[in-house]
Parts: sequence; structure tokens; C-alpha cells
Amino acid sequence: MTHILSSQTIERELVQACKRRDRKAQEATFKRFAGKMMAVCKRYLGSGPLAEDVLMEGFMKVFMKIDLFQEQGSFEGWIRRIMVNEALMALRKEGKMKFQDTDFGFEIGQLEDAYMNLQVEELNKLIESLPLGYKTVFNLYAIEGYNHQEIAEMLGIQEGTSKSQLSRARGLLQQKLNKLHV
Amino acid sequence: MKNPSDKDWKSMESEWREKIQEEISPVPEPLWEKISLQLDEEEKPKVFFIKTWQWVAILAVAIGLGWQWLLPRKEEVALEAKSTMKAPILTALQIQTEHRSKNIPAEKIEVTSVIMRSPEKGSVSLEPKTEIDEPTRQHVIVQQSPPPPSNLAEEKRAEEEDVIWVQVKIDPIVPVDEERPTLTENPIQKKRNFGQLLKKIKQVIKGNPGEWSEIKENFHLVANKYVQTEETIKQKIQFQ
Repeated sequence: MTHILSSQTIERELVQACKRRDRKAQEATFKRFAGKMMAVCKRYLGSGPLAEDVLMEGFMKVFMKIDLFQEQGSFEGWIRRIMVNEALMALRKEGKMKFQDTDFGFEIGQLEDAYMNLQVEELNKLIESLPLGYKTVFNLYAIEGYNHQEIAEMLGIQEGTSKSQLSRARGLLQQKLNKLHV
Repeated sequence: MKNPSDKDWKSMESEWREKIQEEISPVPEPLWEKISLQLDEEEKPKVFFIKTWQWVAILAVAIGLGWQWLLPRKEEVALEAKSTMKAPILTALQIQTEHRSKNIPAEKIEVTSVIMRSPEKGSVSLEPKTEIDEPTRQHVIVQQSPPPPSNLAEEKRAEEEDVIWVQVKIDPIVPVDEERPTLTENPIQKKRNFGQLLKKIKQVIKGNPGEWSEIKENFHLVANKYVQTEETIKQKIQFQ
């Protein structure tokens, strides 16, 4: 509890200092969240130079728009949303945002308890192997916790499309997981 | 094979979420340096923009004030320039010569009419008042002589016999452009300026050489002012 409170206090102080355009506070903020945000960017864009560019652009936006942060929610959550939006924008710019209608016909079978104990690296590899549309919707729904309505608004698609993309992503993931544990 | 429910997936996804959200990827070292430089660049133009904007605002106010301050001067100069052109001075000299040849005393000459016309011949003509066109007539009556004595009727009659009518045609040096105020815009000032000019002409006719040099000086002064004003206006137009 003490740790959480102190972490919140530090975050609040960082935010206040960042709002004053304090360069040292900005550097501290970057060092505190850059690793996690790099992971977010890589999950959407893969481990290439584009992820680095988006991370940079994302932090630029964080520091330039810091005055808009109301300090009601978590600072990390706010930064994460910016990074996700930047990543989606980059995908749109690259013209990669395409949603496959192909149904691979995989049946969603029994989930093994073993799947719960998967390591992050294994999970990332699995998610990375999904087609881009599936991967994006799965990341937004399962990892970031957005609902279908929010995803539809963010991606400019129908709610139904979001649901079908998630369902197909789950089917494909299960097939891959089954292969892994055979 | 039994299909897993959405609940199963949700619980598994939440498990994965916790793991994935805590994941940390290595960040290239020079990335912060790049961001820092970019932040410097982002902040610089903002300051420059504010400064430029302030400069623009100051300039706008200065121009506005300058314009307000210059406008009446411009009119004055333009009026003075119009009133101190060659023609009236020549007229004064000619009148002097004319009245000397006729042996008319200077006090008897009364300038009653001044006609402003667009540039044409630019000369002086001595015509009776009756021949002056009504629409173009601009009366500037200057009477410097003291109030008439008691036997007013007789003296007036005697004076009227010797009075000559002077019609002064004034040609402007430069053709009148749109921006220059015309004499009709400010009739009071026009009358006053012409009144002063005619007073001085009268003084010259009376044989006061001091007045003549004053007219000459004034002419140069007005010409200089005119040129300065013209340059200022040109600069302003270029600036705008």
C-alpha cells in the first residue's frame, strides 16, 4: 500500500513537473515508461524501426499535450492510450490496416490450463503470428481491454467486424496453442 | 471437443493481459536524446512565433498611430503645395507690374476671385468679375484696409472706379491623384491658406521685399514637405 501511494505521489509530481516543461522530469518520465511503451508499439507494429519512430512520436505527444491530462486516471494508462493511437495511426499511414474476411474454419476447442502458464515471449510470438487485422483487434480487446464499440470507433469499422475478427483470432490462436502442446 | 465459453477466454485473456502489460522492451539509448532535441526545436519556434506576433502587433499599432498622425499633415502639405505654386507668385509679380504701369496705388488693388482649374495653360489673366464663370468661382476676399471713414458712400464709389479685378488661375505642379485631398474637402482651411497667401501677395505688391523672400522660403519648405510626404506614402504603400 505504501509502495502504491508513493508510486502515485511520484507520478503526480512527475506530471506537475512535466506540465512546467521541466526537462529532467520529462527525461524521468521517459525512462520510467519507455520500456513498457516500447513493448506496446512492438505488439502492434513488430520489432522494426517503425516501432521506435512511433515511440518517439508518442512521447513527443505526451510532453506536448501533458496539459490535457486531467490527473483523474493513471498516468501510465494515459500514455498507453496515446501510444496505441499513434501505433494505429502509423498502421493506417502504412496502408496496412486491412481486415481479412477469410474464415480459417478453426473450431474453438477446449482451453487447456497450461495455456494460462505461457511465458510472455511465447504469447508475443503467438500474437505476432496472427494476420494484422486479427492481431490488432485481439490486442485492443484482450490486452488493452477496450470493448467492441470502442474498437469499432478507433479502427473505423463495424462492431460486427470487430467481433468476427476477435472470434477468428481466438480460433487461430487456439489452433496454434494446440500445436504447441501436442 | 467442447467449445470453450467466452468466460474461459476472458479469464485466460485477463491472465495474459497482466503478463503482457508488465512486459518491458529494451529502448535504444539515443532515443531520449532525439526526443530532447525535438522538444527543443518544438519550443523554439513557439517562442519565435510569439515574438514575431508581438512585433507584428507593435508594428500594426505604430502604423495605425503614424497614419492617424500623418493624415492631417498630409492634407495640410497637399493644400500648401497647391496654394504655393508658380502661378500665384507670377500673378503677384504681374499684378505689381501691371498696377505700376497704370499708376494705380497698391492699396486700391483688391483680389476678389480665385479660380481653381485642372492643369491647362497656367497663366494669369486680369478680367472683370462679371466674366467669371459662376460654377467655378471660389471667392476669397481679402481686405486689409482699415474700416471706411465717415463719408463712406463717396469713398466707396471712388474706390470702385479704381478697383481692378484679378482672376488667378492656379495650376497644380503635379496632376491631382486620388489620395490627395482636394480643396473642397476642407473649405475653411483652404480659405485660410489662400487668405494667408493672398495677404503675402498683397504685401509684395505694396513693395515689401521681405514678404517675397518669405513666400520663396515657404515655397521651398512646402515643396520639401510635399516630397517627404509623397515618399512616406510610397513607403507605406510598398510596406502594405
